[in-house]
Amino acid sequence: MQRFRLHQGGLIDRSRPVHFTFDGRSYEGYTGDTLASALLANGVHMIARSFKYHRPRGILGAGSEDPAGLVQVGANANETDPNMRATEVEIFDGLETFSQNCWPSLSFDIGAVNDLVWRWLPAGFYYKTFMGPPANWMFFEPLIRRAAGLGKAPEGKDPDRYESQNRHCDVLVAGGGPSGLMAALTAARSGARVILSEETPLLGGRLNALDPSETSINGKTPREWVAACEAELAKLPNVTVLTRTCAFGYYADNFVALAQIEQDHLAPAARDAARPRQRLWRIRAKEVVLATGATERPLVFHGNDRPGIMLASAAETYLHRYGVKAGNRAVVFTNNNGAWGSAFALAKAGVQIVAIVDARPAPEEALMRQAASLGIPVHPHATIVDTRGQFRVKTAVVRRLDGHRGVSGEATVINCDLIAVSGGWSPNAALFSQSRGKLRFDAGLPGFRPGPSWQAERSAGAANGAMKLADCLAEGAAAGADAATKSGFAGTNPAAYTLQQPDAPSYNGIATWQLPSGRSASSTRAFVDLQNDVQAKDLKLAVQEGYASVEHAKRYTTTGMGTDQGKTVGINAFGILADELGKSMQEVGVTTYRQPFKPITFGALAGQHGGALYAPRRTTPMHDWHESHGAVFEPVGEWLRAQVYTRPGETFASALQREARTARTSVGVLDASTLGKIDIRGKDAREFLNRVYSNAWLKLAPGRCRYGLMLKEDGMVFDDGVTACLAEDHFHMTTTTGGAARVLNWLEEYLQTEWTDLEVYLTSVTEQWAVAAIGGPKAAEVVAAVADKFNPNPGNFPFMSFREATAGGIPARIFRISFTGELSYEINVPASYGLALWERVMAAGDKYKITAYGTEAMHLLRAEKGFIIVGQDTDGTVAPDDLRMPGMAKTSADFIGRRSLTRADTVRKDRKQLVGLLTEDPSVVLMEGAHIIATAVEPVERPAPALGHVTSSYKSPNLNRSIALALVKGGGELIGKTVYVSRKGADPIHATVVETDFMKQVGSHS
Amino acid sequence: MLLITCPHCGTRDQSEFTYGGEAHISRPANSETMTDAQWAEFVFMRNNPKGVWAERWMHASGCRKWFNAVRDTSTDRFLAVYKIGEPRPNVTAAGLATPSGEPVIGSGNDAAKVMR
Amino acid sequence: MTAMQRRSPLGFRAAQHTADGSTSITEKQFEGKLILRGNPSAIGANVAGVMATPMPAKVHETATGPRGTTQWLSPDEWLILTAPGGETDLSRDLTAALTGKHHQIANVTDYYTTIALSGAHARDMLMKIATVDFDPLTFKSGMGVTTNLGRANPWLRATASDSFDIIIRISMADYLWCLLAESGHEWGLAGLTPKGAGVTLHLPHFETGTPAAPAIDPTPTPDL
Repeated sequence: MQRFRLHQGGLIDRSRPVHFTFDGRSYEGYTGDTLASALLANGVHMIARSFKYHRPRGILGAGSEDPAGLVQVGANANETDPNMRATEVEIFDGLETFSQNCWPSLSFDIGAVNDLVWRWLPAGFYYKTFMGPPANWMFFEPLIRRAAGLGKAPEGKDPDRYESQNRHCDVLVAGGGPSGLMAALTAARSGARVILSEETPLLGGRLNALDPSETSINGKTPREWVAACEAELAKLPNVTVLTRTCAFGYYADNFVALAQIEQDHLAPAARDAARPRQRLWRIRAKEVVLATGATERPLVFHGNDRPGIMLASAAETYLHRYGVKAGNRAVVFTNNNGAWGSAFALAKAGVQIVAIVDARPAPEEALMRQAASLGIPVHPHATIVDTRGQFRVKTAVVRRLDGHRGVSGEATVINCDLIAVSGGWSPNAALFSQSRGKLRFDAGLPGFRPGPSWQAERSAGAANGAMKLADCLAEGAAAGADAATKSGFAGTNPAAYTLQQPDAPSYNGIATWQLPSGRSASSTRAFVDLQNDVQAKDLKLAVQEGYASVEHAKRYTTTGMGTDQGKTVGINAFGILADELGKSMQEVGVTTYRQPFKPITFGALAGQHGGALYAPRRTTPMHDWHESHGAVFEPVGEWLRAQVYTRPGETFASALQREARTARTSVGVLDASTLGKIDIRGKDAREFLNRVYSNAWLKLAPGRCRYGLMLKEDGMVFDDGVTACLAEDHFHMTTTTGGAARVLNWLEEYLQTEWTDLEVYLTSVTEQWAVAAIGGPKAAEVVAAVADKFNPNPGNFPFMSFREATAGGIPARIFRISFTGELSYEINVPASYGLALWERVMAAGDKYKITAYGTEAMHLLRAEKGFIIVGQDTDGTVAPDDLRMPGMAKTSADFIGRRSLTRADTVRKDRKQLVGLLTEDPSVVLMEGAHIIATAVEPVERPAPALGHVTSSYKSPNLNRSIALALVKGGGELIGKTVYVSRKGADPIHATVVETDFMKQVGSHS
Repeated sequence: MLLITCPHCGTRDQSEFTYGGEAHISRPANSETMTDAQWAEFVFMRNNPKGVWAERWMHASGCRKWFNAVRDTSTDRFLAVYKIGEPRPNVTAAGLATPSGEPVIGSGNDAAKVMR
Repeated sequence: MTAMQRRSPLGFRAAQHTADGSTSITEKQFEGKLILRGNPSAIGANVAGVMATPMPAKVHETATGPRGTTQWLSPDEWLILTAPGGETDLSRDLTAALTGKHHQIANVTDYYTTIALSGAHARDMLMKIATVDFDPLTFKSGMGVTTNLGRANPWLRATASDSFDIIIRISMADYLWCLLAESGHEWGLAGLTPKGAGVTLHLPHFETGTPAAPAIDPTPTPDL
């Protein structure tokens, strides 16, 4: 029973009734209804509680501007959407919606006690709590979070799909009202690539809220004209029209983000699982037309926040677009001519207009006569001073304005169930402001409208301050022509139109930022922000407390900081501040509009780049083998590397010990494919290497390899690796896995910008080669079996050299280099043979009980030998001398970072140096990162004075004890001395400082 | 997301580029004769002006070439791009000094977006 | 000893087709690939002699001839694509033609693989994951580009009006394959999970709770 539905009219489909629930109660509406229009049709006005005082909230607007009519949509815990505007939610059969921020029910809400103590919850309450001592915040936070909530966030993983889409276009038109349609038509006819985005389901904008019998465009009703525009645009291949699509962010260089509702409005059974729920459009437009319309402002008066108090334009929208009367007995309260039209339209539809209250001293004669002819009582130069009605407005109390910011005369009490208010119109300049354009105050509106543009955009129609339909159509066409012309379609002419409309008086609004009530300031409750419960007196308090800037007053009072971004708030708040500060509107200015224009789901922003596709996981050609052999994988940058291979019955730790032991007692193999590899060629390649490595490279013979350190210009270690000389002018460089891209870019930078005279080319060959690093006493036997007719014996194939060979007929490069101290070979084959090589190695090693070992054993083995890992044992503050590695800084020639090595700071004696640590108790394994201190007792001083920290620490199976590497102040001088390693909850651990090669010093007597 | 024009590849999305700091700083050839302070000037010290300056970019996801750009840091506008080795073009900021008309020296806060 | 079996990185993936059959993604296995670097004014004529096509001179240019396709990558860098197995001979011939001239030829056949994306929805699928304008008005058949597709950074070439060859490093190939499949999901491509997806850092020492055990640095562990 839709008691407030008109028998005809509106753009809803009466042949398709829809059943939905609100707070468990079933209602009927029609296809084309929003939740708000359907509830209004059923006489439901109160749908929410406010954020702070839990006051009853109704429906103020008819679109995305509505501040406080927020509901929870959907009962499924994973899919429910909080804080949805009832004015935007489209209904479908089975839709379940709920009020939020109230308990136990909407009409009986415990939180409403906040409203009884409102005097003690002044503006800045949260702000002062946050700014006070942390203890306050700790105490209040849980209370505030519980009390001042909005809806409930969904739980669990979002089951829906989202997508993003990139598009380039010549002209983007934001807004599909009369101006936007004219702009899009004009630009589209020129051949330009046009995208038109409209926030609501229907093109037409304000035209959909007009009385179809009174206006015609090109001889058609507004709706017919919109349909004709839509049909023409649909036929053009160069045009994309997106409805339910909100342009929510205007970023640099005409990058505009649109959020499209693709399936939310459909009943679940009608949704296509293959398509996304919402889609993000990332548009690069050459030119933009902003035709985003204007928003009507509420009036600020005592008692202005009850359900049943609605914008006059919204009441008109419900009437003509949805065929719904928002009430039966309406008071229209205005400060401009526009709302008189709304009053007459409501009256024509059968709403009894019990009063027009106009704050202006002398409303126009023509309007007064028309009101009189309709029998509407008029109260000129008057204001509403109070309203009553617990869950819906029941009466309005009207008094005359005295012209001196006060009221006078007798109070008239008027019974009503709707108060339609209009405080004038504000151009929707959010996108314009986001584009960094400057707003200017137009006293004629009065309001802020777009001034000079910063980007390639222009505003048209109501968004530009035009308040007449004729102006909107003309401006839209002109803007479309301008945009098309500037995007390269010269000579585009504005589309023509003819308009028939009854003569309407111009809008003639005045500024009334707050209306008097005749009450004391402290007992006046006139709301500026209906979502965040900010009252006019809160803004005045902010000014009294010294917040003179609009930005500060906003934050202090939380004005406009709700999920509605204060679309109905802005100028009323600025006006109240301006009055209080005694400044002009221009001087006070506006707060900055930020993206997004309205809330956008995280899902839409993430698009398809979430879940399994969030980030690439790079895998080596041997990955499948690792996976099927118990590998635990470790992310190393983007790479996945096998960290350890657990066999049945093994733990991570026991597998690690087995791998590391076998690699020294028999043979082990590591997948080293991820190492960075760079092919270096040119006659100056050798000179180049000598400049980028800190050690000497000029004498490396073909067939030989060398370990090198790279420094940054600050002298600190940046990367390391082994480079082989393939020929006089041809080298094969390796880098760390994580450093591969970084090093190549850095080398290119020097070649491109500093040493442009060097004849050197670099090409990454990282993944061309799959690499098996075979090490251990039986490594030579395995290599002999893997490679064809190849003698790997050390006598024939010396350490730090390189050979071309074949393995199973496949060309291979074999390097005799070692990162474990054992006899080792790195076999490189083209990557497509990587897995085959690996299988061949495992087969050849089977009789030696070969073990594949992962990165964890590799780390352990190299630590036993005292080899560093750049980034673990170094941290960007470690110079070559700090590593106590002799011969790593040549004196014969300049190299990157050389001069820094003699800086006063780099030659300090007390720099942290890399040393080994052996704990007194060999079973104690130090914590990596643990602080090293000088005293056996933990010092009281905080932070405790530290000598350095542990960089690497392991339980070594080959030495049968714990080992650690550490950076220690003046560590080289401390060899043989005892230091102490701090730990939590126990006495420091005693450890002896030793040289880093544990195999050499401990291995002999273990 | 800015649009940046690579001198070799044309205009591309900012996500394809990496930043390289101040341009036209050459590695000293005579570092061994420099004082610590002079060397530190080269290694550590960079200008950070509000306004027009020259900086380096690399088209990392494209041709991987470094190039120079003149950009107005107060507006994020690129005024010129040019290849390594070419002299800095003589360009100055055009149009509005800053988008919000805020002082040239200051935080860059464009809070006051109203025309003054 | 086992024979050396050659495997392509996407060999385990079946070709994907949209529900209407119009659009597909397939792997072109083992296409020969070389990177050529040099000064075009010094080597251009010699290379053109071998390839029997002019050298692409600027961004977006490609040239296809009897020996294969040359794609401009940067002012001194080209990608040369040739039939599977052809890279050895082509590399030898180019090397011979460039003797005495400063240049570099690197065989990257195994470094990259080729994903062929073809059909009516191909451009729509690319536009979901690319910031470059793939509108047919702008990106025409025969044009090449190096850009980002999602988090991957492939070389790409329009081989026909609605067909693209995407050259991607093998370690990223499955990620890109799955991202393309996801882009075509609304036209019926299967939802796929890339190799290795969901693996996160394993912290055995924290998990076992041994207080004195060495902790693994939760930041990505660098290594040699």
